[in-house]
Amino acid sequence: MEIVCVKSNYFLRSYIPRCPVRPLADCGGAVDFMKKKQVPQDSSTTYAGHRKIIYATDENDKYNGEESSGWNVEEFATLSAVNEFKNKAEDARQRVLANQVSALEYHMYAQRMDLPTLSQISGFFQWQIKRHFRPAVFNKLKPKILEKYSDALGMSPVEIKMPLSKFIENLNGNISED
Amino acid sequence: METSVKIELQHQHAAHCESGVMSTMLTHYGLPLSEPMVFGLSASIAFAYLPIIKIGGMPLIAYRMPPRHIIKGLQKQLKLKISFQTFREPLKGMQALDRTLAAQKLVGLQTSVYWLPYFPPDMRFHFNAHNLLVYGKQNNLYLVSDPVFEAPVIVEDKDLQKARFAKGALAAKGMMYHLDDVPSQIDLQIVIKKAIKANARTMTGAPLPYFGINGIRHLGKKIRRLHQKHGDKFIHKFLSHVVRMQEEIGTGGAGFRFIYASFLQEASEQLNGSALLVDASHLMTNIGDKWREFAMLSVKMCKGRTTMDSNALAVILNECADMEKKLWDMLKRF
Repeated sequence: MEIVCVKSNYFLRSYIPRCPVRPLADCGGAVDFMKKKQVPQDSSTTYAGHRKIIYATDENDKYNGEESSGWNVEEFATLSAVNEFKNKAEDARQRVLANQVSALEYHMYAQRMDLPTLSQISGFFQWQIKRHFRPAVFNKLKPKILEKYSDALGMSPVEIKMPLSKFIENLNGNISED
Repeated sequence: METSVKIELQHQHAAHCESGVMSTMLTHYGLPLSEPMVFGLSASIAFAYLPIIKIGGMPLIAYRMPPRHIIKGLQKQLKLKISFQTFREPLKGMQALDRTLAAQKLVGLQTSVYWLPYFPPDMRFHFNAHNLLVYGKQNNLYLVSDPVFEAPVIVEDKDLQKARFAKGALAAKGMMYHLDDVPSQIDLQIVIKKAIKANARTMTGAPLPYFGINGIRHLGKKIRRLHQKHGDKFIHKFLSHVVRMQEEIGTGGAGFRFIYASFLQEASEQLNGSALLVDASHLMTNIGDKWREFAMLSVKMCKGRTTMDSNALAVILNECADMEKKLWDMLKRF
């Protein structure tokens, strides 16, 4: 049985090489199930000791919710998203310390936001926020504007205004106290 | 105001927040429906590739219907009476929550994941459509039954308020809902048939290439094209985004396929062991496995364990699409 995978494509026919066609395996009958023992138990660090439910079949092919402690594949994807924000925040931190940008850019990435997200949450246009990234503009921000950022980022205006090195010092101090 | 309310509730650990909340809620009010049943009856499985909505500069890829669809779909199918409320002022939202709790009613809330302190740090992103149940309050602490966690948790009022009124995409505006009335009897046979038909339409009937089975093929095509155009580094980023959309965000693509397979199995029991539904359930399981295969191969390529081959990924996606086509054609006949 041969089934053509790619439908005649509308605009990019010459651009894309056609996808190689593989016959479709007969998948209707009893084949390989998602078995209870196939539920991944990789103890992902991203789960922080929690468990998620995945539906899988038991010995009698009956479906049940089974606990999973993580899956490496998912962990990789989650961590790459987390690390991207971390790297961007670190990059911003360097530039803040060199006085090229304001602390706002660091806080944005540290709170796992990007420019469109912060714009949506704070209600400012992206160009306004970019302007606020300039240290000279940032230092003169009115309390009202700071209030909006404080609400969006979930930190007090004082924390946002604080010199970044001091802010990070406080943060690390708090963590070691806990 | 010092208050202490606690509603006796059987916490249920579920795969997905919205279906989990609805299942727990309905069971509590005397209509025991499992999570897969809730998911299936609201006809919530889907696929969509939405290039216009960007998440971190990447297109949104959804493996189920948009948030609130489970609640709304179930409300429609089962003729439930559910009251929804949103608020402009956070304080009023919190007072309304207290009042409803005082009336001994379970309350469902839509919240942002990022501001819920009990979430593991690596899973906190700005996603505004997470559902949870509140079943009591002691002083300034709310008793929360979050279905994606093993056990109930406690959340401070200021954190809950922040989570309910987070702004941005899909902003909840403090959305809360509770059940007013549950029908005493439901003809599951009719409802199941209707739900499956409705779902077959969403998977096969959309005219645009972004939705349903066409959307799956479109994603494969997109992967090949982006690889050609932008090279390995970009496609690695893109793929890890696809996998994250698939596996982490609200239990992911394969997860939803397994939930639906479980629904089909339960449905066949309800319909006197319909052989067609048993076959469909098996096929759906295989589809879920195929999606997992896609995720596994993608990550292997991202990690550099095998050479980047976007064609191979497109082939798997096309196989997913072929299998889903077969499944929904089968279910259409049902």
